[in-house]
Amino acid sequence: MLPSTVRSPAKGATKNSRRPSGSGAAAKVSSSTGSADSSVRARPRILCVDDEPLVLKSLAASLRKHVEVVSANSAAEALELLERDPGFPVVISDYRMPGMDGGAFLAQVRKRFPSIVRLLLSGAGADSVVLDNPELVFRFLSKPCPRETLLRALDDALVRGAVGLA
Amino acid sequence: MNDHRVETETEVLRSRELLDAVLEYAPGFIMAIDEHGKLLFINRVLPQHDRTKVIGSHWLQYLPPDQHESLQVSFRAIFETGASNTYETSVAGPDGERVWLTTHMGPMRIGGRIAGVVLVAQEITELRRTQLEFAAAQKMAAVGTLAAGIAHEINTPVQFVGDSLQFLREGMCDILTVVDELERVCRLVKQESPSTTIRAALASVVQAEAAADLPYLRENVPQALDRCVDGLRRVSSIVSSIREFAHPARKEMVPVDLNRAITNTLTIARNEYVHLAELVTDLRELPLVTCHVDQISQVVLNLVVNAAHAIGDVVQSSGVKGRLTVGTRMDGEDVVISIGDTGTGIREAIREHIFEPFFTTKDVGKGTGQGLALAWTLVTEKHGGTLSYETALGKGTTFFVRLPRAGKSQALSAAN
Repeated sequence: MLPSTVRSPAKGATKNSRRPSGSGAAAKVSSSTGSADSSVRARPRILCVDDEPLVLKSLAASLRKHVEVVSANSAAEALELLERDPGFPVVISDYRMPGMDGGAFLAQVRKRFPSIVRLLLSGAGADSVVLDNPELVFRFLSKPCPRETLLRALDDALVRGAVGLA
Repeated sequence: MNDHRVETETEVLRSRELLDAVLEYAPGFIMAIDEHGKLLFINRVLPQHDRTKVIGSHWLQYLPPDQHESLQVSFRAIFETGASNTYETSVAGPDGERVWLTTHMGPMRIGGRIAGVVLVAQEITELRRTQLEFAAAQKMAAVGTLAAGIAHEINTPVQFVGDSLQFLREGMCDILTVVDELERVCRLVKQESPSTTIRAALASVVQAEAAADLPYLRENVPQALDRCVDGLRRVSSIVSSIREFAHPARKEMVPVDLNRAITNTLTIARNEYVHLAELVTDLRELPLVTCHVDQISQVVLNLVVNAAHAIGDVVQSSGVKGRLTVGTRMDGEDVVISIGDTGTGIREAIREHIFEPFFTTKDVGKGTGQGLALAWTLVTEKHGGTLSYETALGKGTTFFVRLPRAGKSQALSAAN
């Protein structure tokens, strides 16, 4: 599983000059949780974007032992957040959102933050976008996505990020 | 003078012959009826009637008895108002099948008065079937779009409820681990001759545990959460079946996993059969089958619903659950889908009609007579396949959908 396999991008990132802020950000956040558990401290930090706050809160709770979830309620909010702090190895985005949709958002991420691995977690409607732009996302997950599938995708995405492929 | 009369009579006869010949080729039926309801003229008759006997007979005897009263009313109204009217009706054809007609009735004016009624009837069975098929297809498309939208709406809450349940399950296990540790501490403290304050605190712990029925919670809370997870998994599998079933139709045939499509259809139709029959599936390994998957799903759905109704008729009298058998297999270059029921079987007398549009043995409102007719059209015309059945009275019926694995055009070009 995620932290135990030490596929943490925090470690990978320190070796990767393209993403110097990775380890620092992860270390800072995990210390703020105040937990003494070392596995918790090694948790990678990922950015989740969804217009439904309940999805974000529940993802954060469900993944809390594996990754730290930072939430954004819209693509605009997520881009603003990344602008200030680009130290995320992975982003997971919904597709259908008011304003900028997940496809446009991930295209922006790809252009401006090429080292971040992109996942799409969508209810519907994203199939054609993904088919037309296979390089836009590393993996396409459809809602409802079982946790095991999500964790596997995250695990793979973190490995991919750690070796410098987005 | 006499010669002139003969010539006129010959002319009249010739023009009468000409009129008959012309009208014989006119589409539909043209009748002239006198004021007493006797047929004066008919351009042609159905093969089962003799034209010479038809002339002079009462017009209503060729129309279904249940329509006589309303036809009489329309007939009389023409004499009273002079206005014509149009209506749709059905009559029995030569093989006993239903023939739909659109009928116009209007006044026949001779010498300034209404001497009778002219009735022109045109067969519209084919048109009506196409209209109904079109309406059914449109309705299916609309239902599909609606269902896909609803499925999408459901997916988001399923996602966060599922994630929250996972969290609750893990969190509950963690809390119980902590409780175990605390109980151990309580036991240790008790052995160390604690102070009065500690003893009071321990007593209140015991009391709280008893009030909460801790052993029961320990056993049942995780189980309840497991049930929720299981239920939610079912909801999401139903939703994904609906989504795949309702997937917008493609114009061309594509290779699909037919067993998967059938499983989805059975999930959707579950409510039709689950209370009446035990489902037995035997879905053998199949290669990808080139077809219109939405149409084949529709065929399977119609056959499953039919099978459920057939079983329902038996269950109603016997009270014993029936069996619905759904199977797939390869047979040469064809794939065969079989759908069997333990219903009443199909009576000899109606066997040749079951694929006809509008033919139904079901109660009014329950069957439209379109299910098998539509299945027939989709399988034979759209896929170049066959739809057949085996039936035994009192035992049940099995329908077989046979489709060329490579799709219709390939099968045809292979045959050429």
